[in-house]
Amino acid sequence: MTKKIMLILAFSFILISLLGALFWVVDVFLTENLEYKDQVEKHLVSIVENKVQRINSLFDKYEKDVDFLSKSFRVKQVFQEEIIHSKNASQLDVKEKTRIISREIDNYIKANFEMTLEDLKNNEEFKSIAIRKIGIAGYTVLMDLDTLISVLHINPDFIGVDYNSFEEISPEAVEILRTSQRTRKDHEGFYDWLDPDGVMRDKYAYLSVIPTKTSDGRQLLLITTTYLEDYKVANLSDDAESYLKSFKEEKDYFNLLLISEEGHIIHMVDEREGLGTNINENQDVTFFEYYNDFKENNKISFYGPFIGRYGERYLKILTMAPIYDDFNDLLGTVALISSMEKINDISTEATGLGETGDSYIVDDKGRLITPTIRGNLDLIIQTVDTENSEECLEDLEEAEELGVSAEELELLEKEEGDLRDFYDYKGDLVHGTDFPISQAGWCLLSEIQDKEIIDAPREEKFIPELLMVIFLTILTIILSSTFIFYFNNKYEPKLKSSSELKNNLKGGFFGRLKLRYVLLISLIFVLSYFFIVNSFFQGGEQTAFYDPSDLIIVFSLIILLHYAFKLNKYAARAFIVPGIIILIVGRLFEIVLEKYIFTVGFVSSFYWIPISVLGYIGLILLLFGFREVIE
Amino acid sequence: MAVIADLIFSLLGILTSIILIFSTTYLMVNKRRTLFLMPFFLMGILLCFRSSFSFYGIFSQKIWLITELSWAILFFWLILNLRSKNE
Repeated sequence: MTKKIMLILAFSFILISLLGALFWVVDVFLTENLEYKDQVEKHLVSIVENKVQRINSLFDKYEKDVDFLSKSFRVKQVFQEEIIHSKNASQLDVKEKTRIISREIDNYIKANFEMTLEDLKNNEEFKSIAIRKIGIAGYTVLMDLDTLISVLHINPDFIGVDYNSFEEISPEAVEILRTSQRTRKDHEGFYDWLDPDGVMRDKYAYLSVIPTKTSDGRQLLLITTTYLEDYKVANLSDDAESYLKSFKEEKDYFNLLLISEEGHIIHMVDEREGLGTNINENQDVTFFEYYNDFKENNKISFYGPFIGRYGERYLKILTMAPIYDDFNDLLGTVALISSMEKINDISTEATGLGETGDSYIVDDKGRLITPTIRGNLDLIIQTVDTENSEECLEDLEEAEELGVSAEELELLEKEEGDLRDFYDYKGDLVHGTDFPISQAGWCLLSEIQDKEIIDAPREEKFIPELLMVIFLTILTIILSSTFIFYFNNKYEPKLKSSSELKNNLKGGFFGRLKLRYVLLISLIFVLSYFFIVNSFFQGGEQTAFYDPSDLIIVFSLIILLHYAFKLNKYAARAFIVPGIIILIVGRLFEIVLEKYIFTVGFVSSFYWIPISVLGYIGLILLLFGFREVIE
Repeated sequence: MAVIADLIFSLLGILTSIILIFSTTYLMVNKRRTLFLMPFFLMGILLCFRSSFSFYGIFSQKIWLITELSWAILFFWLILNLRSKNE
């Protein structure tokens, strides 16, 4: 009677569970398809908005800092300091420029190894590389290292001149040349030079030996020379220097510049080439454009990104603000240079973008300025011409015309279905969205491939679905146990004495099944279980055999169970059968946990402990059972 | 907390492997059934390896595949032993 009640309860429970499972299947697989696009849109849009918000916060920080500096009394005081000529500034600037030009000359000679010295002298392209104006009055000279006769000079009258003849006019200059000639190495030095106007001026020169010789065996020497008076810096007190340095370091900026009203970079916290030079005379076209644009607007402005020094890892952003004195007269400009590293990190965050999602920023010309998550494209060179980028750039233009921020326009015009389908820069069909960053005139673009969208909405239903899988696992166990024991009892005659045990048909229903049916049942069970769990975690379309070993173990345990039921000795069966069942249960839960870790991420070992304990108990019971078999 | 969990997990595994190896050896000697009980002995050793790997954080896919397949082989060995008993 009790057994009947238990069976009725078990079957009722199974029936209710099956109905529940049916509702779940309908909910997950059917209703999901109707609203998935909304889900994906919300998901992508929220990711993009979050990223833009964080990037805007960075720009707000830059604006706040540059504004603070522009109003700082200590900074204003710097512009009252004495302006001096700086040897250090001239060295920094000239060395860096010489390094670049020297490498360009060397590369040209290597690429044109058949050209003689005479050929190079007459080559216009080579001349444009070798002869450059440096700053206001500086220039480069190309010389034959062995003879010290000039090969190329900015002043044609000085071509073919033997510099040894200048020994009386400027012995220091000639000594510098001869040192380089003697050692065949780079050299530098300060010297006095008598200009054609009869004035003796302080000059600095850096000499660089070009490593590659011409085809006729001539070794060249590049000399870059400038006037010290071209490099004007503020003579700061230690206190002021330390104040600016602390500000730059604490606020984590790449560099801090102070620019005089005339355009001289009078102070750089991190001294590099360009210090002391006049931006208006500088060869750096990018900086010159930014500065000119800034002078027209004369308000806090962002520029960039731009390449700092060749070989630097990150692009740079420039934030500039004008500095006025108490009478509202312009004193100069303060500029903060920040690295794009933080913006890159925000833009390339892949969380929530699955396996095919991408996120990147383009500037107002559509050029890629942050790395992409999936591709490997050049920055500032590569333009992204997709419907997504065009839409965003048009929004920026429209916002500018209307006089609102692009973010405000975006929110005003937000329609249902802001997601668009288009082909990305790789040619794949994607669903994407965009958001403008009006402070910099950039666009953050994000997209995800069509095939991955099916799994994106699952995130919201994760916990209920996880519970459903665990429930289904328990249900399967109850189902199969009920099946085994019900039919076992139905076909197993009631035992009155132990002597009847020997005459009885052994094994019960499951034990009496032919081996081929046991194999079939095990295979069906194992494969079904695998697909249920995999479909839950990775989606039905991405099912793959990542870890067949667990399933082989469950398969072998079910066959072992079959043979365990066939054992004559009850004592052995009493240990082995429960032991195997516990092992199977432990493995099934282990598979679920492993899939969870594979999909979502590592979990604490606390979750493994109960599952492992199940396995250990099963093994020990198995051992005791086998001991009984031996007895 | 994670360290404590890892320690408990590894210690439980080592404890079980000690019980398995000790009990199996005792039975092998007493009952003189070495080959019959050998799978349990090897399971004890495998458990030891598993605990060590997890303790040192060695989660290489290849290592786990080999250890898990070893478990399957041992269970198949048990099947053969039980089958011989049934016959």
